[in-house]
This record gives sequence, structure tokens and C-alpha cells, in this order.
Amino acid sequence: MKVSRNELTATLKKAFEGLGFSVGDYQDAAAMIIWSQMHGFDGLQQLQDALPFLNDCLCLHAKLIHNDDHQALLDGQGSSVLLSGSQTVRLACALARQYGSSRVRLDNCHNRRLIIQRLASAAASHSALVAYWVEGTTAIKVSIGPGAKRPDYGRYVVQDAVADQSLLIFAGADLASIDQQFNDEIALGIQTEAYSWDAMVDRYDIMLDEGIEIDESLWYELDTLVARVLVESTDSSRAGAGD
Amino acid sequence: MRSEHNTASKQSYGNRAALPMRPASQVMQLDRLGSFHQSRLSFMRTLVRRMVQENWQIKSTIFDLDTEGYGTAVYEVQAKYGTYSYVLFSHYLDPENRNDRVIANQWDLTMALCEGTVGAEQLEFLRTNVPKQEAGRVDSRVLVLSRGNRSGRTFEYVVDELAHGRQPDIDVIAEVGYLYRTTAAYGSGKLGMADWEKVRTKHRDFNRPFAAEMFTCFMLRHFSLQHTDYVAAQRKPETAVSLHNDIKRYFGIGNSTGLGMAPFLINHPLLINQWIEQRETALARAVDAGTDGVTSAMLEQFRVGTARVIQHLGEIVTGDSQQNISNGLVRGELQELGQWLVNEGPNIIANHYSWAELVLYAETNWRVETQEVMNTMLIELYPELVDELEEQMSVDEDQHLVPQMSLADLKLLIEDKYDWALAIDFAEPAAQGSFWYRSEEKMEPRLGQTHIDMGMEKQMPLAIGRMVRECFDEICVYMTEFPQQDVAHFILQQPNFSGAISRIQTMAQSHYGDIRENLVHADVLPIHLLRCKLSFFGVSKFDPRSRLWVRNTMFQGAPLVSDFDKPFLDDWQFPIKPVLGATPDSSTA
Repeated sequence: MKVSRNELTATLKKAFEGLGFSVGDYQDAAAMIIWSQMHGFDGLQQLQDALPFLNDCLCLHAKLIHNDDHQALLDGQGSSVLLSGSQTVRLACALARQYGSSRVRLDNCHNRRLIIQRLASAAASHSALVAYWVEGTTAIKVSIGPGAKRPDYGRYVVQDAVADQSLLIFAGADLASIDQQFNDEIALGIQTEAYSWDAMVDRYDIMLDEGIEIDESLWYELDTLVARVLVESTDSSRAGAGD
Repeated sequence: MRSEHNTASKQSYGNRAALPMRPASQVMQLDRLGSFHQSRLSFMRTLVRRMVQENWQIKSTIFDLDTEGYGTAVYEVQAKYGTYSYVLFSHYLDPENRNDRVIANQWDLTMALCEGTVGAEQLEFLRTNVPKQEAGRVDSRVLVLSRGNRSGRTFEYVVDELAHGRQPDIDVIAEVGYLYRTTAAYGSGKLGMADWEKVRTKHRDFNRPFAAEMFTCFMLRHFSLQHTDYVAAQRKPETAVSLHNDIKRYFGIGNSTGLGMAPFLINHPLLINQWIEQRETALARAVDAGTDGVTSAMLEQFRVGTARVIQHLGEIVTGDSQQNISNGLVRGELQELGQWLVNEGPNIIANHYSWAELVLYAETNWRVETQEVMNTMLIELYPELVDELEEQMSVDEDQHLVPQMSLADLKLLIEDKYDWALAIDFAEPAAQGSFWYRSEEKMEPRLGQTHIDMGMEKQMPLAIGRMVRECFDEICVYMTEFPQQDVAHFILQQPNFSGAISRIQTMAQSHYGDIRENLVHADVLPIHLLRCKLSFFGVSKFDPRSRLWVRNTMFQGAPLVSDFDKPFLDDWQFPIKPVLGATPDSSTA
């Protein structure tokens, strides 16, 4: 079935609210899913994969382990980037404003691909960001300059695969300098996939025009989560609507 | 009082550098917002201006109704940038099942506004889904979905009069003002429809807020007038006459608005700020234009406008005693204004009296509602200064958190911009005597009483004042240990306040900011929220049915489709009873 972006956003916000997310969290989480889906990063599939865990996650956020000037280490506590991603990017941006650039690592987190929307959102506030993480034998690097709307995305071969659930964020005022900072620390392997800005825009335009395809079972699952925020209707409650 | 006005505003136009914008502390009070009336910037007014100026062509391509008026109608709309189809289904509805509430599931009429022309296959798809409304699904070719119920007081009466060759009594019509009333107009992507971004960017004819929704209501009015003529002619073809054009113009579309509209104002603060800022800019331009005195022609226009509003308010029939009292008091104060304009006219001109002095007098001596009626009338005088603002009613609604802001700065920001919230004593039981929640019945927003009604643990986050207070208190506690810290670090410790801080930092950058009211107070009057939004829609004749919902009239007095190619004065605000035969084109259709 197809749904509109606004409709999906409204449903996601209420579904995340049903999962116990607070106002800021459910707004950010809905934005992450929608953006990822509309730009070709399978946001709905990631959501479907994450829902069983989100049901049990107690809405854990990132915990600050260490902060030394421009560097910080966060523990995602096994939770989703839907809950810890905003905190991580915001900390990176705040440290970058204070120290010129920053490097923040979030350990023990999931659904890392969803971080891209947070990068795009932060870039709108004049930050440049690079994100890096490893998924099995491939590494992903996403970069975006200040004011840009859509990022550069690339997949690379990793020589020594590691079971790593961390996410690395570099932030600064301009993309060239933090790219240099990134390259000083990480040697990328051969690029296996690049995803162009134009391709992202094309996907976005098609979905805006025709609607977003969503698996019916996921839609109904979201409906059951939405039901958690609804209140039983009684004669008395109808009086609260003007009867 | 003028010294409080924000003359440091960056608003500018022409060669004027700064305008006397009213301060947020005055404008954003709920009772004032609930006293707003339609203006030249209201969405119905701007839509009608656009349709007439661009001479939109509207013709029915299908009018397949039986003798009782049930069946299908399709209208093709040729606007400046595109073609659209208005598809309507007329159904028999047992009067017992006629219900204006959102929880209803049957209606007399259901309709959809679609992009392009509608073929046979799509029409069947719409016939299956549109009558179900929320229980159906449509697709992104549909811009708006709506429904309407006929008026039990006017429809049969008017049909019967026309069938017998008589025009209906104006006084009877004046009591209601419409043949059908709409109970909802859904757009912005609901139920699979086109997203607002698609409408705004790909259908420029409807690129202003709620333009497509307002057009759907306008078309319902157009159909209701054709429908009434048609049913009367079917009933007694040998004697039936058509409605007189002046009476047609006096018919609007009824509207029932309940709490569903209220959360919108809280959940779209940047948009509401934008609407209010444009209206305030219009008022400031009007007041500023009168700085050097007013002309006799303008004074006469103002006097005529005052007399018209007095008549309009006097013709409103409502069972709500408070509204009746209010209408009477406003009329009394406007009569005082009208008398002053007559008696002092020559002196006003000779002494270079300015609108600013009149506004000051009104603020000092008259009710808030009278002030806002008068402000609307002042805006009406200056179309050349005001109308361009109609293109400024949209805004990017993204809220952005500024993580590097120091907590000390954030604390100061809250103390400055949200002083009204910090002034509320939430320890008082009445201060949290209500809560907002969504019912399982169509997710209808409802207002509950704290500790009496169920569902408080699921309340909607509409208590902005309380949210700010809680955030402020946590910041103060955190700062005792980390006085130099920033927002990013605070949010790591208190992640649940990220939404509050995003809103505070974003709205602090806006001109008017949040609505300054504790919306969970036991005595909160949601009807003010409804009236505020409805005033921007452009409705008239407010008829409160309780503090939670209000009936009103849309497009009453507006031009007919057949008027689009005729000279247009754009003066249909505050509709009054017509005097038949008073206009050159007042023949029967």
C-alpha cells in the first residue's frame, strides 16, 4: 500500500510515542525514518528490523563515558540510533563550535544508517560532518558540507572485518578540514558503491509525487503502536469533545 | 500604550524602515487571538481574489442526479496553472443519522478535489472510497477529501419555496446562512492524499496554506446552489424558479469546528507565528499609512464599513448567551465609533487625526473584540499595502536545536521569551485541571478533567507553558553543578527535554512566538483557539455551541462562479442581508 509522507510522519510520531519516546525523540525518529526511506536508504525496512528491539529497549539514550576537549566517547547502551543519534550529532556539533572540530564515537548502537538524516539536519545549521561505521566487511562513509541538503554516501571494502557496533562522527566548520582529519585516522579500502545526490533527489521526487510504498503488515504494526496512545471512548469522554 | 509597541521591528516596506508592530505580550493572549475576525489575508479572501483575477473556468462535466438530487456530479476546473476535478457524491441520509461530529460515518454529500481530469476508472475508485471518508483510502492524485450535511432548517424550506415559484424569505436564510455545512475538509496527505509539499510545489494554484481545502468548500457552496435549483425544478417543473442571484451570494457554506482544530495551532507554532506576523504587519502598515492624517474618502469608507459590521453583528442568530452579549456590546462600541465618525468627520481631517490615535483610544476604552473588529476594518482600507502579504503565509516549519548554546544563555532566553510561562503557578490545582488526549474514536482530540476522566497518562504534549517550566527547573538544577555547560551536554543527561529546547530556541527567533496561555488550566477556553484559526480561514458568524465547538459560515457574501468575469470589489467581508434588486446583476439565474 502507499501512504503519503505527512501521513507516515504523523503515524510514526504517534507509534514512537506509543513506544515511550519523548516529544523530541519521536519527532527526530520519525524524521530519520522518513528521510531514509525517501532518499533510498530503506528507512522502513530498518524500522521493521528495529521494532522488536525498540519494544524492549526502555528508551535508553546515549551515556557520556568520556569527554576530553574536542573528543568524546558515548555508550549507546545497545539502543537504536533513533534514540541516541541526535544526542551524538549534537554533541559533535557543540564541541566543534567550541574547539574548531570534534570527534565523537558512539559505541554499542544499532540502526546506524539512520544517522544520515541527523547529519543533513545538522548541516542545515552550518556544520560540516563526516560519519563512519563498519557493517561486517564493508565500511560506510557519509559526508556533508555546511548548508548542503543531501550527503555524499560511499561503501568501501574493509580488510580486517570487525564485529563493531560503533559510529564515528567528525564535525567542523568546513568539510575539507574534517575530511582531512578523517583521512588522517582512517584508511578507506576500495569503494564498492557510491550513491549520488541526483539519485537521492529522483527517489525523493517520485515518492513525493506518488506516495511511499509500505508493507501492509508494518503499517498495521504501527497502528497497534499508535493505539497505545489512544484513550478508550466513553459517554463521559464524548462530553470532552463537545457533546 | 503605544510606548510598548515594538518599533524596533525589522519589518519594512517601500521606503518605511520600521513599523509599529504590536508586541507579542499583547497579541499572543488567547482571548485576543479568539477575537480575531477575517481579514484581506484570510485564506477564503485570497482564494476568491485569485479565482476572480485569473478568471478560473468551472463547468460541470457530469451532473447525474436523480429526481431527489442523489447521484454524482463532477466539475472540471481550469485554473491558471492546471486542471482539476471536483467529484461529488450525493447520498440519501436518514435525518436520524445526520451528525456533524468527526465520529460520524454517513453524510449527505461526500467529495474529493483531484488533480487533472478524472476518467471512468478513477471515478469508480473514488465512488468506492470517497463516501467512506476516513474509513476509505485514496491516492496522491487527490488533494482534498471532504463531506457535508444539509441544513435541516433551510434546505427543504428553500427547495419548497422555489418549487412553488417563490423566493425564500431573507430573514429565514439569515438565521442559518447556508444550505449545507461541511464537517471536515482533509488535505495535506491524510488518507493517502497528496502531501502539502506536492500541492505547494506542483499545483501552484493552491500553493497557499489551506487554499485547496478552502476551494473544496467553495465548490460545495457552488454545488449546493445548483443542487437546490435542480431539486426544486424536479419537484415542480411547471412552477419552479431559480434562486435570485443576490440570495445565492448571501448563501455560504456552514461549518462545524471542534477540538480537532485546536492541537494544530500548538503543533505548528512557526506557521501560526507567520500568519499572525503577516496580519500584524498588515495592521501596522494601515496604522502607519494614517500617520499623516486620513482623507475624507477614507473616512467615509471607514464609516460605511462600521455601519456594515454593526448590521452584520445584529443579524447573527446564536443560542449562545455569551456570544449574544458580546455581539451586543461590540455593536454598542461600534455605534459609538460610527457616531464619532459622523460628528467629528471634518475635525478629524482638519486636525490630521491618525489611525494610531484611534487604535490607542480603542485599546484604552473598548473591548478586545471591538478592537480586533476595528483592526480588521483598518486593514480593509489599504489593499495596495496589504494584499501582497498573502504570498507570505507559508513558512519552513523545521525546529532546530542549537546544541552549542550555553545553558546560561538558554536560561536567559526562557526568562525573556517565556516569562509568561514562568509566571504560571502550576502548583495551583486548577492550573493543571485539564488534559488533552486522543480518543480511540477516530483519534478525535478531547479535553479531559484531571483526576476525573481516564487517559491522563496518555495526554498530548500541548501544555507548552508547563513544558517550559519543567525544562527551566531542570536547567536550574543542572547548572548548580555545571554552570558553564552547554545544551548538548544537558541533553545527554536529560534527553527528554530535547523537544522542549528545540521549540524554545526556535520560537525565540520568531516575532510572536508561542500562544501565551496555560492550555491545561481547568477553565481553558479552547474555542479561542478554534476562532483564531477560523479567522485566518476567513469564516464569519461565529455561533458557539459550547466552549469546545463552534458553528460558522464560510464564503457567505462571496462572488458566485458566474461573477468571475465581472467587475469585482472584493468587499464581501461581514456579509449582510441583501436587498433584492439592489445590484445591477441581480437577476435570477
